[in-house]
Amino acid sequence: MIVGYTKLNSEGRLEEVVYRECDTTEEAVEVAEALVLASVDDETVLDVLRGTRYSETEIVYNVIHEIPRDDS
Amino acid sequence: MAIFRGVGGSGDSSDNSFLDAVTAQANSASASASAASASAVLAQASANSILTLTAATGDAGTDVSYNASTGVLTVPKGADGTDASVTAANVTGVLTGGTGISIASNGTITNDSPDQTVALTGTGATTITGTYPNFTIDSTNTTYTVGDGGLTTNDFTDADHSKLDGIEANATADQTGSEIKSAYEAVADTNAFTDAEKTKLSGIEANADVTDTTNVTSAGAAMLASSPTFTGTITVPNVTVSGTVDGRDVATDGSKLDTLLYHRVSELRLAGNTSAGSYLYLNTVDQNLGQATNIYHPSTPDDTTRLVDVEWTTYWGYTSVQNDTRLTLHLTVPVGGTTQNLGTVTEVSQYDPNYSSRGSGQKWYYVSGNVAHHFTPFGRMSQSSSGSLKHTIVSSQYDPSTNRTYFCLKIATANMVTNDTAYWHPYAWESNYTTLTQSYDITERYRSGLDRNKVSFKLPFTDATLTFRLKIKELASGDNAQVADSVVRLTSMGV
Repeated sequence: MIVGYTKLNSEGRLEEVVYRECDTTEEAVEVAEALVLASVDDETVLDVLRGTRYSETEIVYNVIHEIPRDDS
Repeated sequence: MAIFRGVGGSGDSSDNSFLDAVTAQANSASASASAASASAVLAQASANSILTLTAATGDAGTDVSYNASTGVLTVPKGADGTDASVTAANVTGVLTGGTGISIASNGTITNDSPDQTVALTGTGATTITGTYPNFTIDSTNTTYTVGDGGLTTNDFTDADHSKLDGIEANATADQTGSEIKSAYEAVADTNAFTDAEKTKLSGIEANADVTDTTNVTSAGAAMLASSPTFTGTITVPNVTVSGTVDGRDVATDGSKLDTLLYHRVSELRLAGNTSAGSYLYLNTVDQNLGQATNIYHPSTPDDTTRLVDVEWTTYWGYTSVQNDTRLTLHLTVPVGGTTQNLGTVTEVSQYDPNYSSRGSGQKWYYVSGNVAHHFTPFGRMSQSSSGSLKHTIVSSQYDPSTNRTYFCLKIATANMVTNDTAYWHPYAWESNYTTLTQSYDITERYRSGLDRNKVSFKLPFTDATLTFRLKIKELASGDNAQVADSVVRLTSMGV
């Protein structure tokens, strides 16, 4: 299980960043929720995502952990 | 007091002389006493109990004897030379009293039942004759009195006795009418005509007629013969129709209705038209496509396929680089999602010309039957019922010629193999209220103006209400896009 997040890169484009790889879904959920709390005041983190790695280069994110912000 | 010396004792001869004189006197006295009464002799002996007679000779013995003919009283000597005393007990112990006679230990003889005087007297026609102890009683009265206090001439037969036996205890013949009425009505199943029934009958009008139109109408019903108009609700049991209804065979029509698929389509307008001021300016943070946050796909009577078709207008501002947007559907996992067992899988040969893979880590399988309606981008496949491995559906179709559902999986970690069981979870084994996502990116380059964009989402096969949001954003800070006039079309279809 992969926990990642989106941010704007140096070119101003959204990119998905792998935050941590977890062994179980439960662990991934805990890591994602912790990242959400840590990102509330970090405007560079746009979304916290959770998904599955299918290959070295392919990750499919299918769960979003919404960061509680006023403009969301 | 005189003292006598016995035989063999000491003393002079004058003593023996004196004894002889006494003996002679005693014999004389005894002889004279025999002439008098025996009781007088006994009385004397008792009165002179100081007298002790001692036998001088003879056999030893214990009983005193008296010879009535000679008048001699013989007192034997003791068995061992001891003295034998004459006591009352020695005398009375051998005597027995007759009926009514008792003998006391001191010799007293008592008549306990002295003679009674019996007087027998005959009266009227009864006479008594004879003397004690034989009497004769004779009565010559043959006259009887008839009536009260006397005998009756009526026969008291066995039948009369049987009748009396049949009468219960405390039977009376004086019950009142009220008592008889209460007793009768209190018995079950007597079909008693009670006061309550009489009241009911009294409430029925004279010549009451249930077919009277006025009565029927006043009761809220209607006479068929008078073209009735019913008001209110009529409840009838199941109706079996042997013919047709309005010329229709309702059974045939019902069978057709049963096979009709549930199909509902509704359209939601999420945002205003494209007139000035209606546009939503996009940026790199997700915003609601429309003016409502939550969108609802209503529940259905049975599980249905859910489709969401989204249309909106994008106004592209000119940029010198790529201009692109991303529309994302955020689906909230509802309560009640369950794992589906799709049966045993079979791997499809990689050389099968009908099914090919376009990427590494992809593989085709099939299961028996049509299960394609379950597959959506929100669900996941696994050979584990707990979803420890989650494979993504890439492609699928139902082949009616083989009655199989073929599907291509993007494999996570370990392949499914032939004879594995395929498990499908419509929400990827995620917890309730988790937010699942699916996105579409829309890109343009070097242009400006309006585009009408359309994308479709397939939501899980369910009968539950699904709640989702539609979010849209730009993928780069240099993009320049606005959206407006968004519409969502919701479709529910049975299979």
